Amino acid sequence: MPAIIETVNITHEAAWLPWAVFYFFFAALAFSAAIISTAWTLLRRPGWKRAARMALLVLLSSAIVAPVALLADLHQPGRFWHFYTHFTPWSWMSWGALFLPLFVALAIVYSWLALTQPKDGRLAWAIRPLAMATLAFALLVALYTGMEVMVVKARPIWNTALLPWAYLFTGLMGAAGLALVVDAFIPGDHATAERKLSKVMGYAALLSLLTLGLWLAEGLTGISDAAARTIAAISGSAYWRMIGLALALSLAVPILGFFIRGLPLAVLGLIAVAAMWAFRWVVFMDGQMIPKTGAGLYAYRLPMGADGLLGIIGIIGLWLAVIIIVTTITGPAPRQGAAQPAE
Amino acid sequence: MDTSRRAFLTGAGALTCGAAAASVGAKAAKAGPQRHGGDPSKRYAMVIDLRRCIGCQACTIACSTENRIPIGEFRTIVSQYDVRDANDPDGAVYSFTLPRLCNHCDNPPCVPVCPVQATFQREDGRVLIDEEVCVGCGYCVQACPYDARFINPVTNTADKCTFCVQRVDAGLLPACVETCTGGARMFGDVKDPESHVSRVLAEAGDEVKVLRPEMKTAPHVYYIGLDTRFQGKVDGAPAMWTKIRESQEA
Repeated sequence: MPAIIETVNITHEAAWLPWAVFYFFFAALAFSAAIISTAWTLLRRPGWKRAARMALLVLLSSAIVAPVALLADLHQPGRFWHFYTHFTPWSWMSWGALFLPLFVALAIVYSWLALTQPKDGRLAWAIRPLAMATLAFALLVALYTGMEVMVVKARPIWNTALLPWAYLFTGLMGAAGLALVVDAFIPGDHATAERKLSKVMGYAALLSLLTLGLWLAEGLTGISDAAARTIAAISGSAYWRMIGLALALSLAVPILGFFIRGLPLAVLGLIAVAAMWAFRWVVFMDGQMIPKTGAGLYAYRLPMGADGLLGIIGIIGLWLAVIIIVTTITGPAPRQGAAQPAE
Repeated sequence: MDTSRRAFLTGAGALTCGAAAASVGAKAAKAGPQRHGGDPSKRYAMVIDLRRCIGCQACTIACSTENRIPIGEFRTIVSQYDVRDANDPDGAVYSFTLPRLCNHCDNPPCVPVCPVQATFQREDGRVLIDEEVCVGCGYCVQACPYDARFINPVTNTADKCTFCVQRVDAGLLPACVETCTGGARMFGDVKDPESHVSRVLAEAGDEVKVLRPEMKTAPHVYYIGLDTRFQGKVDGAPAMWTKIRESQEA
Protein backbone atom coordinates (compact mmCIF):
# COMPACT_ATOMS: atom_id res chain seq x y z
CA MET A 1 0.00 0.00 0.00
CA PRO A 2 1.57 3.33 -1.04
CA ALA A 3 2.03 5.98 1.63
CA ILE A 4 0.21 8.58 -0.47
CA ILE A 5 -2.77 8.06 -2.76
CA GLU A 6 -3.99 10.99 -4.82
CA THR A 7 -7.76 10.91 -4.68
CA VAL A 8 -8.78 14.24 -6.24
CA ASN A 9 -6.84 16.17 -8.87
CA ILE A 10 -7.16 17.21 -12.51
CA THR A 11 -5.39 16.11 -15.67
CA HIS A 12 -3.60 18.97 -17.39
CA GLU A 13 -4.03 18.79 -21.14
CA ALA A 14 -1.01 19.15 -23.41
CA ALA A 15 -0.65 22.85 -24.31
CA TRP A 16 1.70 21.99 -27.16
CA LEU A 17 -0.21 19.85 -29.61
CA PRO A 18 1.03 17.23 -32.09
CA TRP A 19 1.45 20.21 -34.44
CA ALA A 20 4.42 21.26 -32.31
CA VAL A 21 5.99 17.84 -32.79
CA PHE A 22 5.67 18.25 -36.53
CA TYR A 23 6.98 21.80 -36.47
CA PHE A 24 10.12 20.72 -34.60
CA PHE A 25 10.33 17.69 -36.90
CA PHE A 26 10.17 19.61 -40.18
CA ALA A 27 12.27 22.51 -38.86
CA ALA A 28 15.00 20.04 -37.86
CA LEU A 29 14.75 18.27 -41.22
CA ALA A 30 15.15 21.64 -42.93
CA PHE A 31 18.06 23.00 -40.90
CA SER A 32 19.85 19.64 -41.03
CA ALA A 33 19.32 19.28 -44.77
CA ALA A 34 20.68 22.82 -45.22
CA ILE A 35 23.83 21.80 -43.33
CA ILE A 36 24.24 18.59 -45.38
CA SER A 37 23.69 20.38 -48.70
CA THR A 38 26.62 22.72 -48.11
CA ALA A 39 29.00 19.77 -48.48
CA TRP A 40 28.58 20.40 -52.20
CA THR A 41 27.20 23.92 -52.64
CA LEU A 42 29.85 25.50 -50.39
CA LEU A 43 32.65 23.00 -49.93
CA ARG A 44 32.48 21.17 -53.28
CA ARG A 45 33.37 17.89 -51.58
CA PRO A 46 33.98 15.21 -54.23
CA GLY A 47 31.10 12.79 -54.76
CA TRP A 48 28.59 14.96 -52.90
CA LYS A 49 26.71 16.45 -55.83
CA ARG A 50 23.75 14.04 -55.94
CA ALA A 51 23.65 13.62 -52.17
CA ALA A 52 23.49 17.42 -51.78
CA ARG A 53 20.74 17.56 -54.37
CA MET A 54 18.66 15.10 -52.35
CA ALA A 55 19.33 17.19 -49.23
CA LEU A 56 18.20 20.30 -51.13
CA LEU A 57 14.92 18.57 -51.98
CA VAL A 58 14.44 17.71 -48.30
CA LEU A 59 15.34 21.30 -47.37
CA LEU A 60 12.92 22.89 -49.82
CA SER A 61 9.98 20.65 -48.99
CA SER A 62 10.49 20.77 -45.21
CA ALA A 63 11.08 24.53 -45.12
CA ILE A 64 7.73 25.08 -46.84
CA VAL A 65 5.82 22.74 -44.51
CA ALA A 66 7.41 23.65 -41.13
CA PRO A 67 5.79 27.10 -40.72
CA VAL A 68 2.36 25.63 -41.50
CA ALA A 69 2.70 23.23 -38.56
CA LEU A 70 3.95 26.06 -36.35
CA LEU A 71 1.01 28.31 -37.17
CA ALA A 72 -1.39 25.44 -36.56
CA ASP A 73 0.06 24.92 -33.08
CA LEU A 74 -0.83 28.49 -32.10
CA HIS A 75 -4.26 28.59 -30.50
CA GLN A 76 -4.67 32.06 -32.04
CA PRO A 77 -2.94 31.65 -35.43
CA GLY A 78 -4.53 34.82 -36.80
CA ARG A 79 -2.51 36.81 -34.28
CA PHE A 80 0.89 35.64 -35.57
CA TRP A 81 1.71 39.24 -36.41
CA HIS A 82 1.82 40.02 -32.68
CA PHE A 83 5.26 38.39 -32.72
CA TYR A 84 6.48 41.35 -34.77
CA THR A 85 4.53 44.16 -33.11
CA HIS A 86 5.52 42.94 -29.61
CA PHE A 87 9.08 41.76 -30.18
CA THR A 88 10.47 40.40 -26.90
CA PRO A 89 14.27 40.05 -26.90
CA TRP A 90 14.37 38.01 -23.68
CA SER A 91 12.18 35.23 -25.12
CA TRP A 92 13.74 32.56 -27.35
CA MET A 93 10.40 32.09 -29.09
CA SER A 94 10.37 35.74 -30.06
CA TRP A 95 13.82 35.39 -31.65
CA GLY A 96 12.56 32.30 -33.40
CA ALA A 97 9.78 34.35 -34.94
CA LEU A 98 12.52 36.43 -36.59
CA PHE A 99 14.89 33.60 -37.52
CA LEU A 100 12.31 31.23 -38.98
CA PRO A 101 10.82 33.35 -41.79
CA LEU A 102 14.29 34.53 -42.83
CA PHE A 103 15.54 30.96 -42.84
CA VAL A 104 12.52 29.75 -44.81
CA ALA A 105 12.85 32.55 -47.38
CA LEU A 106 16.58 31.96 -47.81
CA ALA A 107 16.11 28.18 -47.92
CA ILE A 108 13.49 28.41 -50.65
CA VAL A 109 15.54 30.76 -52.85
CA TYR A 110 18.81 28.92 -52.25
CA SER A 111 17.50 25.41 -52.77
CA TRP A 112 15.41 26.42 -55.78
CA LEU A 113 18.38 28.10 -57.43
CA ALA A 114 20.75 25.25 -56.63
CA LEU A 115 18.26 22.64 -57.83
CA THR A 116 17.26 24.33 -61.06
CA GLN A 117 20.66 25.87 -61.94
CA PRO A 118 19.57 28.42 -64.57
CA LYS A 119 20.99 27.43 -67.94
CA ASP A 120 22.30 30.88 -68.79
CA GLY A 121 24.32 30.79 -65.55
CA ARG A 122 23.36 34.37 -64.71
CA LEU A 123 22.47 33.64 -61.10
CA ALA A 124 24.95 30.83 -60.50
CA TRP A 125 27.22 33.21 -58.57
CA ALA A 126 24.45 33.69 -56.00
CA ILE A 127 24.33 30.04 -54.92
CA ARG A 128 27.38 30.15 -52.65
CA PRO A 129 26.50 33.33 -50.74
CA LEU A 130 22.94 32.06 -50.43
CA ALA A 131 24.29 28.76 -49.12
CA MET A 132 26.34 30.64 -46.52
CA ALA A 133 23.42 32.80 -45.42
CA THR A 134 21.05 29.78 -45.32
CA LEU A 135 23.61 27.85 -43.29
CA ALA A 136 23.92 30.76 -40.83
CA PHE A 137 20.15 30.93 -40.35
CA ALA A 138 19.87 27.13 -40.25
CA LEU A 139 22.26 27.17 -37.28
CA LEU A 140 20.24 29.96 -35.66
CA VAL A 141 17.01 27.96 -36.07
CA ALA A 142 18.78 24.89 -34.63
CA LEU A 143 19.96 27.04 -31.72
CA TYR A 144 16.61 28.65 -30.97
CA THR A 145 14.54 25.47 -31.27
CA GLY A 146 16.90 23.76 -28.84
CA MET A 147 17.19 26.64 -26.39
CA GLU A 148 13.47 27.43 -26.40
CA VAL A 149 12.72 24.01 -24.95
CA MET A 150 15.88 23.62 -22.89
CA VAL A 151 15.24 26.72 -20.77
CA VAL A 152 11.94 25.41 -19.41
CA LYS A 153 13.01 24.49 -15.86
CA ALA A 154 9.47 23.46 -14.97
CA ARG A 155 9.79 20.41 -17.22
CA PRO A 156 12.86 18.48 -16.05
CA ILE A 157 12.76 16.22 -19.13
CA TRP A 158 13.39 19.31 -21.31
CA ASN A 159 15.71 21.14 -18.94
CA THR A 160 19.02 19.64 -20.10
CA ALA A 161 21.88 21.16 -22.07
CA LEU A 162 21.98 17.90 -24.04
CA LEU A 163 18.59 18.55 -25.63
CA PRO A 164 19.74 21.00 -28.35
CA TRP A 165 22.48 18.54 -29.27
CA ALA A 166 20.01 15.66 -29.38
CA TYR A 167 17.79 17.76 -31.67
CA LEU A 168 20.75 18.50 -33.94
CA PHE A 169 22.06 14.93 -34.13
CA THR A 170 18.65 13.30 -34.60
CA GLY A 171 17.87 16.04 -37.13
CA LEU A 172 20.98 15.24 -39.17
CA MET A 173 20.15 11.54 -38.93
CA GLY A 174 16.58 12.07 -40.10
CA ALA A 175 17.48 14.51 -42.88
CA ALA A 176 20.12 12.14 -44.26
CA GLY A 177 17.63 9.29 -43.92
CA LEU A 178 14.91 11.20 -45.76
CA ALA A 179 17.40 12.18 -48.47
CA LEU A 180 18.12 8.45 -48.91
CA VAL A 181 14.41 7.75 -49.25
CA VAL A 182 13.99 10.56 -51.82
CA ASP A 183 17.09 9.30 -53.64
CA ALA A 184 15.51 5.88 -54.05
CA PHE A 185 12.62 7.41 -56.02
CA ILE A 186 14.73 9.52 -58.39
CA PRO A 187 16.49 7.73 -61.26
CA GLY A 188 20.23 8.09 -61.57
CA ASP A 189 23.48 6.91 -60.06
CA HIS A 190 22.53 6.00 -56.50
CA ALA A 191 25.70 4.38 -55.21
CA THR A 192 27.85 7.42 -54.39
CA ALA A 193 25.01 9.46 -52.87
CA GLU A 194 23.88 6.47 -50.83
CA ARG A 195 27.38 6.01 -49.48
CA LYS A 196 27.71 9.64 -48.44
CA LEU A 197 24.24 9.99 -46.97
CA SER A 198 24.29 6.68 -45.11
CA LYS A 199 27.58 7.73 -43.52
CA VAL A 200 26.03 10.99 -42.24
CA MET A 201 22.95 9.07 -41.07
CA GLY A 202 25.02 6.44 -39.25
CA TYR A 203 27.35 8.86 -37.48
CA ALA A 204 24.45 11.15 -36.53
CA ALA A 205 22.53 8.16 -35.15
CA LEU A 206 25.59 7.15 -33.15
CA LEU A 207 25.93 10.68 -31.75
CA SER A 208 22.20 10.70 -30.93
CA LEU A 209 22.51 7.45 -29.01
CA LEU A 210 25.58 8.72 -27.17
CA THR A 211 23.72 11.90 -26.23
CA LEU A 212 20.78 9.94 -24.87
CA GLY A 213 23.18 7.60 -23.07
CA LEU A 214 24.94 10.60 -21.52
CA TRP A 215 21.58 11.99 -20.33
CA LEU A 216 20.70 8.63 -18.79
CA ALA A 217 24.10 8.45 -17.08
CA GLU A 218 23.69 12.01 -15.76
CA GLY A 219 20.32 11.08 -14.32
CA LEU A 220 21.32 7.74 -12.82
CA THR A 221 24.44 9.16 -11.17
CA GLY A 222 22.62 12.27 -9.98
CA ILE A 223 25.01 14.63 -11.80
CA SER A 224 21.96 16.27 -13.37
CA ASP A 225 19.13 16.94 -10.95
CA ALA A 226 16.65 17.49 -13.80
CA ALA A 227 17.54 14.16 -15.46
CA ALA A 228 17.38 12.39 -12.09
CA ARG A 229 13.92 13.84 -11.39
CA THR A 230 12.71 12.79 -14.84
CA ILE A 231 13.96 9.25 -14.37
CA ALA A 232 12.37 9.10 -10.93
CA ALA A 233 9.04 10.19 -12.42
CA ILE A 234 8.98 7.72 -15.31
CA SER A 235 10.99 4.70 -14.17
CA GLY A 236 7.98 3.00 -12.63
CA SER A 237 6.01 3.16 -15.85
CA ALA A 238 5.96 0.13 -18.16
CA TYR A 239 4.90 2.45 -20.99
CA TRP A 240 8.00 4.63 -20.58
CA ARG A 241 10.30 1.62 -20.35
CA MET A 242 8.80 0.29 -23.58
CA ILE A 243 9.10 3.55 -25.52
CA GLY A 244 12.63 4.10 -24.17
CA LEU A 245 13.68 0.70 -25.47
CA ALA A 246 11.90 1.21 -28.81
CA LEU A 247 13.57 4.58 -29.25
CA ALA A 248 17.03 3.21 -28.47
CA LEU A 249 16.54 0.33 -30.92
CA SER A 250 15.24 2.58 -33.70
CA LEU A 251 18.21 4.91 -33.20
CA ALA A 252 20.56 1.92 -33.42
CA VAL A 253 19.13 0.64 -36.72
CA PRO A 254 20.62 3.43 -38.94
CA ILE A 255 24.06 2.46 -37.62
CA LEU A 256 23.67 -1.08 -38.99
CA GLY A 257 24.62 0.18 -42.46
CA PHE A 258 28.21 0.44 -41.23
CA PHE A 259 28.38 -3.22 -40.32
CA ILE A 260 26.09 -5.09 -42.69
CA ARG A 261 26.57 -4.61 -46.42
CA GLY A 262 23.66 -4.82 -48.81
CA LEU A 263 21.00 -3.54 -46.44
CA PRO A 264 18.27 -1.53 -48.20
CA LEU A 265 19.48 1.95 -47.27
CA ALA A 266 16.18 3.60 -48.14
CA VAL A 267 14.49 1.39 -45.53
CA LEU A 268 17.16 2.29 -42.98
CA GLY A 269 16.56 5.91 -43.97
CA LEU A 270 12.85 5.57 -43.35
CA ILE A 271 13.51 4.06 -39.92
CA ALA A 272 15.87 6.98 -39.19
CA VAL A 273 13.12 9.45 -40.10
CA ALA A 274 10.66 7.54 -37.89
CA ALA A 275 13.16 7.53 -35.00
CA MET A 276 13.73 11.25 -35.40
CA TRP A 277 10.00 11.89 -35.32
CA ALA A 278 9.45 9.49 -32.41
CA PHE A 279 12.15 11.23 -30.37
CA ARG A 280 10.29 14.52 -30.73
CA TRP A 281 6.95 12.90 -29.96
CA VAL A 282 8.31 11.36 -26.77
CA VAL A 283 10.00 14.60 -25.68
CA PHE A 284 6.96 16.78 -26.37
CA MET A 285 3.80 14.76 -26.01
CA ASP A 286 4.89 12.15 -23.45
CA GLY A 287 7.01 14.81 -21.72
CA GLN A 288 3.92 16.93 -21.18
CA MET A 289 2.22 13.95 -19.54
CA ILE A 290 4.64 14.06 -16.61
CA PRO A 291 2.79 16.12 -13.99
CA LYS A 292 4.71 18.99 -12.45
CA THR A 293 2.98 18.61 -9.10
CA GLY A 294 0.51 15.73 -9.25
CA ALA A 295 1.19 12.06 -8.61
CA GLY A 296 1.89 9.47 -11.31
CA LEU A 297 1.52 10.29 -14.98
CA TYR A 298 -1.26 11.83 -17.05
CA ALA A 299 -2.70 9.90 -19.97
CA TYR A 300 -2.59 11.34 -23.48
CA ARG A 301 -5.36 10.37 -25.84
CA LEU A 302 -4.78 11.38 -29.45
CA PRO A 303 -7.80 13.37 -30.65
CA MET A 304 -9.24 12.29 -33.98
CA GLY A 305 -9.65 15.85 -35.31
CA ALA A 306 -7.36 18.61 -36.56
CA ASP A 307 -5.43 18.73 -33.28
CA GLY A 308 -4.72 15.00 -33.54
CA LEU A 309 -4.89 12.27 -36.14
CA LEU A 310 -6.46 14.38 -38.89
CA GLY A 311 -3.77 17.03 -38.43
CA ILE A 312 -1.02 14.40 -38.57
CA ILE A 313 -2.40 12.90 -41.78
CA GLY A 314 -2.84 16.40 -43.20
CA ILE A 315 0.68 17.63 -42.52
CA ILE A 316 2.30 14.43 -43.83
CA GLY A 317 0.05 14.68 -46.89
CA LEU A 318 1.11 18.29 -47.37
CA TRP A 319 4.78 17.33 -47.28
CA LEU A 320 4.16 14.50 -49.76
CA ALA A 321 2.35 16.89 -52.11
CA VAL A 322 5.16 19.44 -51.87
CA ILE A 323 7.95 16.92 -52.47
CA ILE A 324 6.09 15.48 -55.48
CA ILE A 325 5.56 18.94 -56.96
CA VAL A 326 9.14 20.02 -56.25
CA THR A 327 10.75 16.88 -57.70
CA THR A 328 8.47 17.06 -60.75
CA ILE A 329 9.32 20.68 -61.48
CA THR A 330 13.04 20.47 -60.75
CA GLY A 331 13.39 17.36 -62.90
CA PRO A 332 15.79 14.42 -62.62
CA ALA A 333 19.18 14.81 -60.99
CA PRO A 334 22.12 15.50 -63.32
CA ARG A 335 24.69 12.73 -63.51
CA GLN A 336 27.62 12.87 -61.11
CA GLY A 337 30.10 13.91 -63.81
CA ALA A 338 27.78 16.38 -65.58
CA ALA A 339 28.64 20.03 -66.04
CA GLN A 340 28.75 21.99 -62.80
CA PRO A 341 27.05 25.30 -62.21
CA ALA A 342 29.19 28.31 -62.91
CA GLU A 343 31.45 29.30 -60.04
CA MET B 1 35.38 41.29 -58.63
CA ASP B 2 35.52 37.54 -59.04
CA THR B 3 32.59 35.54 -57.79
CA SER B 4 34.40 33.73 -54.95
CA ARG B 5 35.55 37.05 -53.45
CA ARG B 6 32.06 38.46 -53.86
CA ALA B 7 30.65 35.35 -52.23
CA PHE B 8 33.07 35.68 -49.34
CA LEU B 9 32.30 39.36 -48.81
CA THR B 10 28.55 38.72 -48.96
CA GLY B 11 28.82 35.88 -46.50
CA ALA B 12 31.08 37.88 -44.20
CA GLY B 13 28.58 40.74 -44.36
CA ALA B 14 25.75 38.43 -43.41
CA LEU B 15 27.73 37.01 -40.51
CA THR B 16 28.69 40.51 -39.30
CA CYS B 17 25.05 41.62 -39.42
CA GLY B 18 24.08 38.44 -37.58
CA ALA B 19 26.73 39.01 -34.89
CA ALA B 20 25.67 42.65 -34.48
CA ALA B 21 22.02 41.64 -34.19
CA ALA B 22 22.91 38.95 -31.64
CA SER B 23 24.91 41.48 -29.60
CA VAL B 24 22.05 44.00 -29.58
CA GLY B 25 19.66 41.19 -28.74
CA ALA B 26 21.81 39.98 -25.85
CA LYS B 27 21.89 43.49 -24.36
CA ALA B 28 18.13 43.88 -24.73
CA ALA B 29 17.54 40.43 -23.30
CA LYS B 30 19.55 41.30 -20.19
CA ALA B 31 17.10 44.14 -19.48
CA GLY B 32 14.26 41.63 -19.08
CA PRO B 33 10.56 42.25 -18.59
CA GLN B 34 9.50 45.28 -16.56
CA ARG B 35 6.51 45.43 -14.21
CA HIS B 36 3.80 47.87 -15.15
CA GLY B 37 0.40 48.98 -13.84
CA GLY B 38 -0.93 48.48 -10.33
CA ASP B 39 0.02 50.14 -7.06
CA PRO B 40 3.75 49.79 -6.29
CA SER B 41 3.09 50.45 -2.58
CA LYS B 42 1.25 47.11 -2.32
CA ARG B 43 2.28 43.47 -2.71
CA TYR B 44 -0.68 41.14 -2.82
CA ALA B 45 -0.32 37.61 -1.52
CA MET B 46 -2.44 34.71 -0.31
CA VAL B 47 -1.96 32.70 2.85
CA ILE B 48 -3.58 29.27 3.08
CA ASP B 49 -3.82 27.68 6.49
CA LEU B 50 -4.08 23.99 5.60
CA ARG B 51 -5.11 23.13 9.15
CA ARG B 52 -8.40 24.87 8.41
CA CYS B 53 -9.00 23.47 4.90
CA ILE B 54 -11.68 20.76 4.80
CA GLY B 55 -11.43 20.09 1.05
CA CYS B 56 -15.00 21.20 0.36
CA GLN B 57 -14.07 22.66 -3.06
CA ALA B 58 -16.25 25.71 -2.39
CA CYS B 59 -13.27 27.82 -3.56
CA THR B 60 -13.07 25.80 -6.78
CA ILE B 61 -16.75 26.41 -7.51
CA ALA B 62 -16.66 30.08 -6.50
CA CYS B 63 -13.67 30.73 -8.75
CA SER B 64 -15.20 28.97 -11.73
CA THR B 65 -18.47 30.85 -11.26
CA GLU B 66 -16.91 34.26 -10.67
CA ASN B 67 -14.49 33.98 -13.58
CA ARG B 68 -16.73 31.96 -15.90
CA ILE B 69 -14.16 29.23 -16.43
CA PRO B 70 -15.15 26.64 -19.08
CA ILE B 71 -16.23 23.26 -17.72
CA GLY B 72 -13.25 20.95 -17.27
CA GLU B 73 -10.73 23.75 -16.68
CA PHE B 74 -9.82 25.26 -13.32
CA ARG B 75 -7.95 28.32 -12.06
CA THR B 76 -7.86 26.75 -8.63
CA ILE B 77 -8.58 23.31 -7.27
CA VAL B 78 -8.11 21.52 -3.97
CA SER B 79 -5.99 18.41 -4.55
CA GLN B 80 -6.80 15.66 -2.08
CA TYR B 81 -4.71 12.78 -0.87
CA ASP B 82 -5.06 9.76 1.42
CA VAL B 83 -1.92 9.58 3.52
CA ARG B 84 -0.63 6.90 5.83
CA ASP B 85 2.56 6.43 7.77
CA ALA B 86 4.94 4.50 5.51
CA ASN B 87 6.41 2.76 8.55
CA ASP B 88 2.99 1.72 9.81
CA PRO B 89 1.04 0.29 6.86
CA ASP B 90 -1.81 -0.87 9.06
CA GLY B 91 -2.09 2.48 10.80
CA ALA B 92 -4.76 5.07 10.33
CA VAL B 93 -5.22 6.83 7.00
CA TYR B 94 -5.75 10.56 7.09
CA SER B 95 -6.81 13.01 4.44
CA PHE B 96 -4.59 15.84 3.22
CA THR B 97 -6.00 18.70 1.19
CA LEU B 98 -3.94 21.14 -0.83
CA PRO B 99 -5.52 24.14 -2.58
CA ARG B 100 -3.54 24.98 -5.73
CA LEU B 101 -3.55 28.16 -7.80
CA CYS B 102 -1.19 30.60 -9.53
CA ASN B 103 1.52 31.56 -7.05
CA HIS B 104 1.95 35.12 -8.40
CA CYS B 105 5.69 34.66 -8.00
CA ASP B 106 8.11 37.54 -7.58
CA ASN B 107 10.30 35.80 -10.13
CA PRO B 108 7.60 34.35 -12.40
CA PRO B 109 9.03 31.98 -15.04
CA CYS B 110 5.92 32.46 -17.19
CA VAL B 111 6.62 36.16 -17.83
CA PRO B 112 10.03 36.16 -19.55
CA VAL B 113 9.17 33.29 -21.91
CA CYS B 114 6.05 34.99 -23.31
CA PRO B 115 7.07 35.98 -26.86
CA VAL B 116 4.58 38.84 -27.16
CA GLN B 117 4.59 40.23 -23.57
CA ALA B 118 0.95 39.25 -23.10
CA THR B 119 1.85 37.77 -19.71
CA PHE B 120 3.10 40.54 -17.45
CA GLN B 121 3.45 41.44 -13.81
CA ARG B 122 1.89 44.47 -12.18
CA GLU B 123 3.72 46.62 -9.66
CA ASP B 124 1.53 45.08 -6.94
CA GLY B 125 2.95 41.65 -7.81
CA ARG B 126 -0.05 40.16 -9.57
CA VAL B 127 0.80 38.22 -12.72
CA LEU B 128 -1.82 38.85 -15.40
CA ILE B 129 -2.48 38.02 -19.05
CA ASP B 130 -3.53 40.47 -21.73
CA GLU B 131 -6.09 38.36 -23.57
CA GLU B 132 -6.08 40.70 -26.54
CA VAL B 133 -2.36 40.21 -27.13
CA CYS B 134 -1.89 36.51 -26.24
CA VAL B 135 -1.26 34.32 -29.29
CA GLY B 136 -2.04 31.09 -27.44
CA CYS B 137 1.43 29.62 -28.00
CA GLY B 138 1.30 27.81 -24.64
CA TYR B 139 4.91 28.65 -23.75
CA CYS B 140 3.85 30.12 -20.38
CA VAL B 141 1.83 26.97 -19.65
CA GLN B 142 5.01 24.95 -20.07
CA ALA B 143 7.12 27.36 -18.00
CA CYS B 144 4.83 27.44 -14.94
CA PRO B 145 6.24 25.02 -12.34
CA TYR B 146 2.87 24.79 -10.58
CA ASP B 147 0.68 23.61 -13.48
CA ALA B 148 -1.41 26.68 -12.73
CA ARG B 149 -1.99 27.73 -16.34
CA PHE B 150 -4.03 26.30 -19.18
CA ILE B 151 -5.22 27.24 -22.63
CA ASN B 152 -8.80 28.42 -22.29
CA PRO B 153 -10.77 26.51 -24.96
CA VAL B 154 -13.22 29.40 -25.36
CA THR B 155 -10.81 32.33 -25.69
CA ASN B 156 -7.95 30.20 -27.10
CA THR B 157 -5.56 32.16 -24.93
CA ALA B 158 -3.58 31.36 -21.79
CA ASP B 159 -5.63 31.50 -18.61
CA LYS B 160 -4.95 31.35 -14.87
CA CYS B 161 -5.82 32.83 -11.47
CA THR B 162 -5.62 36.64 -11.34
CA PHE B 163 -6.25 36.91 -7.60
CA CYS B 164 -9.68 38.03 -8.90
CA VAL B 165 -8.26 41.31 -10.19
CA GLN B 166 -11.75 42.59 -11.04
CA ARG B 167 -12.91 42.09 -7.45
CA VAL B 168 -9.79 43.25 -5.64
CA ASP B 169 -9.60 46.45 -7.72
CA ALA B 170 -13.21 47.10 -6.61
CA GLY B 171 -12.26 46.63 -2.95
CA LEU B 172 -13.53 43.05 -2.60
CA LEU B 173 -11.75 39.84 -1.70
CA PRO B 174 -10.99 37.15 -4.28
CA ALA B 175 -13.98 34.82 -4.72
CA CYS B 176 -12.15 31.81 -3.27
CA VAL B 177 -11.26 33.73 -0.12
CA GLU B 178 -14.76 35.13 0.25
CA THR B 179 -16.32 31.68 0.05
CA CYS B 180 -13.80 29.62 2.04
CA THR B 181 -15.92 27.88 4.66
CA GLY B 182 -13.08 27.15 7.06
CA GLY B 183 -11.42 30.54 6.68
CA ALA B 184 -8.33 28.78 5.40
CA ARG B 185 -7.70 31.20 2.54
CA MET B 186 -6.57 34.71 3.49
CA PHE B 187 -5.64 37.51 1.13
CA GLY B 188 -4.01 40.90 1.52
CA ASP B 189 -1.06 43.20 1.18
CA VAL B 190 2.15 41.80 2.66
CA LYS B 191 3.87 45.19 2.33
CA ASP B 192 1.52 46.47 5.03
CA PRO B 193 2.81 45.05 8.35
CA GLU B 194 -0.60 45.64 9.93
CA SER B 195 -2.55 43.66 7.32
CA HIS B 196 -4.21 40.40 8.39
CA VAL B 197 -1.97 38.30 6.13
CA SER B 198 1.19 39.98 7.44
CA ARG B 199 0.18 39.26 11.02
CA VAL B 200 -0.75 35.65 10.25
CA LEU B 201 2.59 35.11 8.50
CA ALA B 202 4.51 36.69 11.37
CA GLU B 203 2.71 34.50 13.91
CA ALA B 204 3.24 31.32 11.90
CA GLY B 205 7.00 31.96 11.60
CA ASP B 206 8.83 28.81 10.46
CA GLU B 207 5.54 27.04 9.83
CA VAL B 208 5.16 29.03 6.61
CA LYS B 209 6.14 27.14 3.47
CA VAL B 210 5.77 27.59 -0.27
CA LEU B 211 5.42 25.10 -3.10
CA ARG B 212 8.52 24.11 -5.07
CA PRO B 213 11.01 26.37 -3.28
CA GLU B 214 13.84 24.81 -5.31
CA MET B 215 12.54 26.63 -8.42
CA LYS B 216 13.50 29.95 -6.78
CA THR B 217 10.39 31.66 -8.11
CA ALA B 218 9.59 33.45 -4.81
CA PRO B 219 5.93 32.36 -4.75
CA HIS B 220 3.40 34.63 -3.03
CA VAL B 221 0.97 31.92 -2.04
CA TYR B 222 2.06 30.85 1.44
CA TYR B 223 0.99 27.67 3.18
CA ILE B 224 0.75 26.97 6.89
CA GLY B 225 0.78 23.29 7.83
CA LEU B 226 2.20 22.06 4.53
CA ASP B 227 3.63 18.56 4.69
CA THR B 228 6.99 18.75 2.84
CA ARG B 229 6.07 15.60 0.86
CA PHE B 230 3.58 17.77 -1.03
CA GLN B 231 5.86 20.71 -1.83
CA GLY B 232 6.96 19.34 -5.21
CA LYS B 233 5.80 16.56 -7.49
CA VAL B 234 3.90 14.25 -5.20
CA ASP B 235 5.48 10.82 -4.93
CA GLY B 236 2.30 8.82 -4.63
CA ALA B 237 -0.16 6.65 -6.47
CA PRO B 238 -2.76 8.23 -8.72
CA ALA B 239 -6.09 6.62 -8.02
CA MET B 240 -8.72 8.39 -10.03
CA TRP B 241 -7.48 8.23 -13.58
CA THR B 242 -8.85 6.44 -16.60
CA LYS B 243 -8.26 2.92 -17.84
CA ILE B 244 -5.74 4.22 -20.39
CA ARG B 245 -3.66 5.56 -17.57
CA GLU B 246 -3.94 2.32 -15.63
CA SER B 247 -2.75 0.33 -18.64
CA GLN B 248 0.25 2.66 -18.95
CA GLU B 249 1.09 2.15 -15.32
CA ALA B 250 0.56 -1.62 -15.35
